[in-house]
Amino acid sequence: MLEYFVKRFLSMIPKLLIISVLIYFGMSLIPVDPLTIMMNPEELDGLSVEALEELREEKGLNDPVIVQYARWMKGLAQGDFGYSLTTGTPIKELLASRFPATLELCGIALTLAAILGILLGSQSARHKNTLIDYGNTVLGLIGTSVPGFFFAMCFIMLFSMKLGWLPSGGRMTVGKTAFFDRIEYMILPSFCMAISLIAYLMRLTRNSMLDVMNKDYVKTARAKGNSELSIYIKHCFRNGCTPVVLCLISRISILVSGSTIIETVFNYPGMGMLLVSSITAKDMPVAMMTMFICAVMVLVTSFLGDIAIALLDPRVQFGKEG
Amino acid sequence: MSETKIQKSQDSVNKRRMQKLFSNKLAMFGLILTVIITLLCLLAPLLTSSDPDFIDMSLRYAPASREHPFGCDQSGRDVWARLLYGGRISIAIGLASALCANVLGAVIGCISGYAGGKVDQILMYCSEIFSCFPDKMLILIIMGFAGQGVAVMMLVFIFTGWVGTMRMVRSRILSLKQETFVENCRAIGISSASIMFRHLLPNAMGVFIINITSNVAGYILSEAGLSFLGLGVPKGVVTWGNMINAARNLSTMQNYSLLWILPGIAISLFVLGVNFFGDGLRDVFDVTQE
Repeated sequence: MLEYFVKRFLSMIPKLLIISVLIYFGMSLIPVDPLTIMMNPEELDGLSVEALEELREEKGLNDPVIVQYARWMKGLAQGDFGYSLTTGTPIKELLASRFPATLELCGIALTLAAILGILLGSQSARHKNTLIDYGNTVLGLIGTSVPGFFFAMCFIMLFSMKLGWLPSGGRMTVGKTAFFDRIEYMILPSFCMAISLIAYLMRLTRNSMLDVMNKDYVKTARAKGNSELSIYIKHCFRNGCTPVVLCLISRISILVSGSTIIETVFNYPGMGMLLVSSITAKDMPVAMMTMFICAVMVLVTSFLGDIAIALLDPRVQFGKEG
Repeated sequence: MSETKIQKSQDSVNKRRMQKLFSNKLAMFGLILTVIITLLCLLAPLLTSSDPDFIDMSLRYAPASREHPFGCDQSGRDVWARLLYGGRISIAIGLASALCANVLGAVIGCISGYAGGKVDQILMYCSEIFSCFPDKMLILIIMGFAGQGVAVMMLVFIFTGWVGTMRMVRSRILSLKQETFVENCRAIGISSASIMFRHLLPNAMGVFIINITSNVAGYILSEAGLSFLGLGVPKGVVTWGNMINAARNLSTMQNYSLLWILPGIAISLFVLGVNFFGDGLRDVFDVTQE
């Protein structure tokens, strides 16, 4: 088992390398002087052409590409992400302020989706082919069909403008930074992000529960005279939920990419909005680094997902995966 | 079994599938919805006499009238005409990219599954790398580099969209490869290419068709989302997403809500129709959802 984990962990490294190469060459395609990305703009101010050339030599911009790439990677490992083209702030600082915001939002959305999706899905399975089931199925299809930003706009319209219950955007009121003060800002965006995931999980839970309910051990439990509710909770729910939980973990990346649009609608200062605003401003270094962090996040979550599968699902055989 | 007999049994399978599909009310509702919206968009010149791009500043935010059934937008353009003509491009982008992405995915998946070995490993590795990037973000970045345009957007969709189909077709081919008919084909000297594309691929048709429907829905949503952010189709081209983007600021949102609600409903209804239909197809072909 340990061998499998180590192997799986090591398999991330070449992928990480390829992703970094892609990002690096993406950055080198940007038609600007790389010095402006690497250096703090204030230091570059007022330098002569010769001084700039010297700096270029010093920074190794005349070295072979491979050497430059290695140096860039080294910088990344040490947390030197370069500088934004438009504002001149270190990208590291930008990411450090945005990353927790997105993590918070995604965390809440994920929790919401897990609770609602599993609840509605198991309810559907329990009352299979009844009005509840059909209703849930149709609701689920609507949830996947209506664009998230349309939901978001409707909610802003209804809850912020008409009813005035919740703020229409932002992350916190000035001066109130505690988690509980911020919650009202997160209700709408996290729910909008969760909708399509809820629909997806609902369907998955329904199918997986129906699958389990036809298993022999459920029939045995029923034959033994257990109450319907105890069969349902002890035998069906626990077994039926395993694939759902696994899928939930592997879907985290969808949430991250879904955050781009929702964060922009709600003016929520997270990674997604950073990406959109940097692309709009043609600030490609920021965009590429944001992308890089997100790709690494996907890689790590899929690793965690595989580990979770291995731990939770006894059917997984070790040593057979490449 | 003789050739005609196989043909016959295949026909009856298809017939049974069609019957099952036609008896599924939700799927038929979806199909009708999709067809109606598509027809409305195609017949746009008959349904409206207004030019979707004609700017008449005297009609800014004009309310609904006989001439302009849904009023006019912030530049005095007829909303009904923009809805119809915008739908054309939105639907065309969705359909065309879904078709191309799936053909590409099916071909790569077929080769990967049939060839096996090193080829398979390399192709699978490529698809894994692709799936490391959250898809919407990858599209955003490429659009950022390549600039905006309908063609660019479609290429990006195709470029990023083949992975899902490729994997599903590949796993289908992997199991089909073990069947005796493949061995028979090889024994009588049919070329690999012919086995792959004439004998194996048609058996993976269910996956292909279902993926197309789900991709059409997905691409229309993506197009709308990207255009909504102002990063999709150029502003001058009318699509449903661009219409919502134009009405995004808070005051328009509140005071002229029809401007964004209508295209929003149009997108939702179309995608809903496609999803209902796709759901029915999934039941018919019995492909487990991944």
